[in-house]
Amino acid sequence: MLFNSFEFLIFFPVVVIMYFLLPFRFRWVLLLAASYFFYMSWKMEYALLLAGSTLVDYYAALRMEALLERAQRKKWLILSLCSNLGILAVFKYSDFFYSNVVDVANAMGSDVEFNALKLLLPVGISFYTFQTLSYSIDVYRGMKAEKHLGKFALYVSFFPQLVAGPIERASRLLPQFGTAFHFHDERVKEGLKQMLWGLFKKIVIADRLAVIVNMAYNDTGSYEGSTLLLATYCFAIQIYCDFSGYSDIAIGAAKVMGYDLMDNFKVPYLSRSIREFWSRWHISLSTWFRDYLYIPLGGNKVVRWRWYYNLFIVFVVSGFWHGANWTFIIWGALHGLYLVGGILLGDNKAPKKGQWWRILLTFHLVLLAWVFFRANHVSDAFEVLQKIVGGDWNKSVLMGLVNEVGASYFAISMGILLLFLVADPLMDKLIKKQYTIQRSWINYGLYAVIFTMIMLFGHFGEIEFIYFQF
Amino acid sequence: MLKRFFIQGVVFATVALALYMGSFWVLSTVEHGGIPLIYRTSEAYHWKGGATFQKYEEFDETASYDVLVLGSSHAYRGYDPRIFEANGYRTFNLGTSAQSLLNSYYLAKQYVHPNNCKLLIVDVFEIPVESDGMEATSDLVQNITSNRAALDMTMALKDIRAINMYLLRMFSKNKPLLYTDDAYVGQGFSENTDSLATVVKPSVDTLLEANELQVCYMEKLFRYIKENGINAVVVNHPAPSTINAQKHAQFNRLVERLTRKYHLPYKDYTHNHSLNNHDHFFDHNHLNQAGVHIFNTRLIQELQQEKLLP
Repeated sequence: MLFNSFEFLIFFPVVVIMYFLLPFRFRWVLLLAASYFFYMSWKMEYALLLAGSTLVDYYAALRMEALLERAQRKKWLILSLCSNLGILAVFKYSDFFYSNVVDVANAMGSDVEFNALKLLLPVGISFYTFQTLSYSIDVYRGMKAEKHLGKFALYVSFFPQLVAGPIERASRLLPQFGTAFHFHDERVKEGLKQMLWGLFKKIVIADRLAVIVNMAYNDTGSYEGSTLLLATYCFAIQIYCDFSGYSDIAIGAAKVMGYDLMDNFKVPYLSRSIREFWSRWHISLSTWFRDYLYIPLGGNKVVRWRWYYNLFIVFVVSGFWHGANWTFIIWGALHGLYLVGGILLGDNKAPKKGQWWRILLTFHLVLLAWVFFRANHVSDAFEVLQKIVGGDWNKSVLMGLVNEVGASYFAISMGILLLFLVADPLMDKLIKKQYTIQRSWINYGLYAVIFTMIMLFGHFGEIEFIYFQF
Repeated sequence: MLKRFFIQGVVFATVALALYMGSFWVLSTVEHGGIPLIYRTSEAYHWKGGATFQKYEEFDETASYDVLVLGSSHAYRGYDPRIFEANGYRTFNLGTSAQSLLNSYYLAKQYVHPNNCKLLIVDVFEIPVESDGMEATSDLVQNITSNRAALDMTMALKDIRAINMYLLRMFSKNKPLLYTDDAYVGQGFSENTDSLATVVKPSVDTLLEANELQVCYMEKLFRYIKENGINAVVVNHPAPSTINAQKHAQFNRLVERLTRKYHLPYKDYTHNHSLNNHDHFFDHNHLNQAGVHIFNTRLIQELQQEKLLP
């Protein structure tokens, strides 16, 4: 069940109405049942993995809390790590490892054939395994374990953020399940507005741009530099609107019911450095890696070369987390290099405001890395870069793509995109209540316009969110 | 607090709906180059006119037909009412472009009754079962005569594009046609005399990806036929030899299961023919007029032998 589907349009209000009608002590049951129903709408069997992961981590945490000796607690932590990472390794990475072993063996002269296992990747697996992992590590470090199995299961499966985050920490979300939220009209309205804005970003911007991006990137050989450059710019906006749109819907949906999920995006393309970019993009993942990988590796409290190594390795792992493909690893490695490069160039302090050239530079460094993120193969990414940089530009091919997409469709998409680029920073402030509109008729009008834009210019057809594949 | 929320919700919904419908009206009224602007906003809007509009305008709901045909382009290009008429059967072809099972069901409910049809031919093949139904719904919602059937399809599809299409139908009620189809020859049939224009490549061996909604509506259609005592036959018309055999076998298992359940005869001519790829087809899965002639003549004979036609 996608957020941008008719089913969710029915499912969500039903859950919310039942939620506020039920006495507080039964609400967790409703939310848990709704969350599993939501997840099983993709595939029933997926729920078994989710439940399995939940049970292992619940029990391991209780054991860790009960044991005083660090060495014994570590055994339970290792069990939790192995089970969660094991699930990921089998379902997400087995074919990747297998194909690379076969490639290496063949390079060494053997004649092995690669027969992909083609295991179906359970949706959201990378998100909920990381969420439960953080819980196990926190309990190992001294946080109290959750005794209530139902509430813990809800923490792992809470439907607004189950399939693509934000990856919540137990210390933030679990206590909220113990709080009796009453119906609060202002909060419900805030949540609904955020959901509407998220839908706009997904359906009107991301899915319209996806038509152009997919056409170019799924057939890189047929297009020349200017078309591929345009497609890459479009992808940068597409992935931002797709993922931040999802996050807005998730955060908004939770807010309607009273829950406060963490911010995941803060207008990242206005960053003045890569360091700043990572404090504004997919914040729940970057802080996860900071707390559970970067700092345990030593962070910056080590010798200089080791600090650079720590930064680099964290981003390589982050790339690999995204997908079992060399394209993602290179994407992560590039960001690692950018950060290390930034430090070497003395870019270690927060940049001053108003340095627009830095925003442009940062955006284009990010854009370069997006080429690898979006390309289907590493060779495609290099082909794209070669054509863009090598001057293989041909106006007629670009016009060919415009005609194929439809000239008016293309023109409208670009028009809405320009409007969005201006409106997004303001909307971000409005959604996060850093700015308020005093006159209620302007408020009504604004969201009525957003609704109308979705209905008139939305690219419908229940297109999945990009991050669902991770 | 709840009352205030409810009132504000109603006010917002009213403002938002008024703005949406008002903007839609403006876009469907203001024209550029003779075409309403709304068509420029999305590919999903089907133009008013074409074979679908012409055939449903021509179809006489009060008349009695010997044979009616439902289905996609296989149907409206593959069953020629003139050939049936030459054999003494008054026939009308209700097939439309990409017509999915969902569409066939609502068309059957609106236009096919035991009193106006002695035999209903339901043409089926793989593509309509795999489709989401949007393309055909867009065409039908814009062009059929029945508001009820158009609304039913819109609601059944659960897609904003279909809702927009229905709104466009309402706003273009009194507007002239935007185009007509030259291949349309009347009685619901579109003729193509060309021989195969392109080389038919062997199909890639893919599996059937049946859309659950369409499978559900195939069953609903067969149940409707049975419960209303409509005499019907399910037909899969001839295909070039290059068709994907594995997918076809899967499809047949699905159709056979449902036709058996509702005691409907299923005649599969996909491979069961002596037509050749070049002379009797005009593309990778449509018969040309020479192919239609041979196929229809044979079909009529077999339907007579099996007492499905008098």
